Amino acid sequence: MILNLAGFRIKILCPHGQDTIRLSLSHASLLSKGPEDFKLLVIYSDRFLFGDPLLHAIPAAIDLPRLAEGQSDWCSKVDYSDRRILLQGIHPEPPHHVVWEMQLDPSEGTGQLCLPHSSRNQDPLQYPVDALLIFYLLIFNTGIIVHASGAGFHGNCSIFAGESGAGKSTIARYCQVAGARILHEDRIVIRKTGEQFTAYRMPLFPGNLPVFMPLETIYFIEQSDSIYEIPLPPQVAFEKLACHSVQHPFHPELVERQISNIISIAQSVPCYRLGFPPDPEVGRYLSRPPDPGTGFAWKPIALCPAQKGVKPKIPDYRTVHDAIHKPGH
Amino acid sequence: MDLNQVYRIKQPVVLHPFGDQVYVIPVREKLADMTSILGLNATAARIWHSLEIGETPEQIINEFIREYETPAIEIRHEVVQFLSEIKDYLENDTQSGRFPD
Repeated sequence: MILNLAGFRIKILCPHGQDTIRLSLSHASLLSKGPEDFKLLVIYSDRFLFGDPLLHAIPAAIDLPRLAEGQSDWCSKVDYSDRRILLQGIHPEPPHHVVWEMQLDPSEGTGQLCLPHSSRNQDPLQYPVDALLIFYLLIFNTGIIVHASGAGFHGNCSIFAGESGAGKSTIARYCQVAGARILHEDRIVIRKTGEQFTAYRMPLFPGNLPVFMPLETIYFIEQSDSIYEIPLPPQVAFEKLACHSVQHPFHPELVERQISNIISIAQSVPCYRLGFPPDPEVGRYLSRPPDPGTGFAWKPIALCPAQKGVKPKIPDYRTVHDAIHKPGH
Repeated sequence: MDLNQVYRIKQPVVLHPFGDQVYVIPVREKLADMTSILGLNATAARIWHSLEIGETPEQIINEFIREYETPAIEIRHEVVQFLSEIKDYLENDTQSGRFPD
């Protein structure tokens, strides 16, 4: 069988003679067909896949919203060697706390998932296995997962990144009222496809269908008395996007890869600060087609309060250290 | 702070250049923390590198004084200020642990 996980077609294989895979509602809606991008062999065995204990124990940082705070003590064990990612963890959700092990070789497009015999009647890809699989495939395929909502007008998608409570769901619903199709209200997968970037729905909830749209704009949202948007230079966009990306890399090479992916997105996709009041008008505003008559890449700045300058979150040492001048400068 | 002490970068970090900055990505509890990335311009990155290779703040300041026309007191102030801003990343080489105030 083939599952479409955020655009990755994952072929799920079972060794000859073993049971077929049981899928939960969360994944049954993602059944797909066509050539696979990745082959995952699911093995039911009571013996561990990895002979030696994995080196690192890390918190499971893919903090999907359906997991309560009280479950934050469970963790994954990870390692990275010979371009293979080794993961070991426990399914946090009832009825059984099943130990799973997964080995991924993204460059080869293959992986193995090992589960105990007692879990044969459960979905082997239940969280966090599915999310970790997507995350690590993205690292090797110029992509990231972003804490953002997304909505599409005219077949193209804008995503809205922001802190919890900034209004990600609210602005997505305002867009929906104005005729947009919602991609997701909390997690968006961004991935390079050909020469452009595409936004995919992160499959989190039962019945989610695989949906994707070309990514046109990234907005970093903030609450305001009026609507305004301010274009961001790539460096500022990178800093903001890094803050809002889902972070799970544990090895310097994986960190480098994720940083490179974020930079690639920040350089390619127009990024803006977007202020908006709690008013559906912002949905109508965003539904306007691009204005080719302006000097801006996407659409004109509406109202830009003077006090809202483009200000990066981190200190800008250019200001501090430009006091030191080269001779003759 | 004692400008003649050697201060080391105590926290695992990944450095990544982008544009005119070098970004410092701290690694905490084995995971990269991209909510706390630090952008360094060329001068700040040079101070960071000098610390990594074991130079004392006094040596770094003297290099800048030799190289730049800026008054020495201003250079000293700027370097000390930068070091205080990155103090969470530093530890005293001889007194393992905290960066002295």
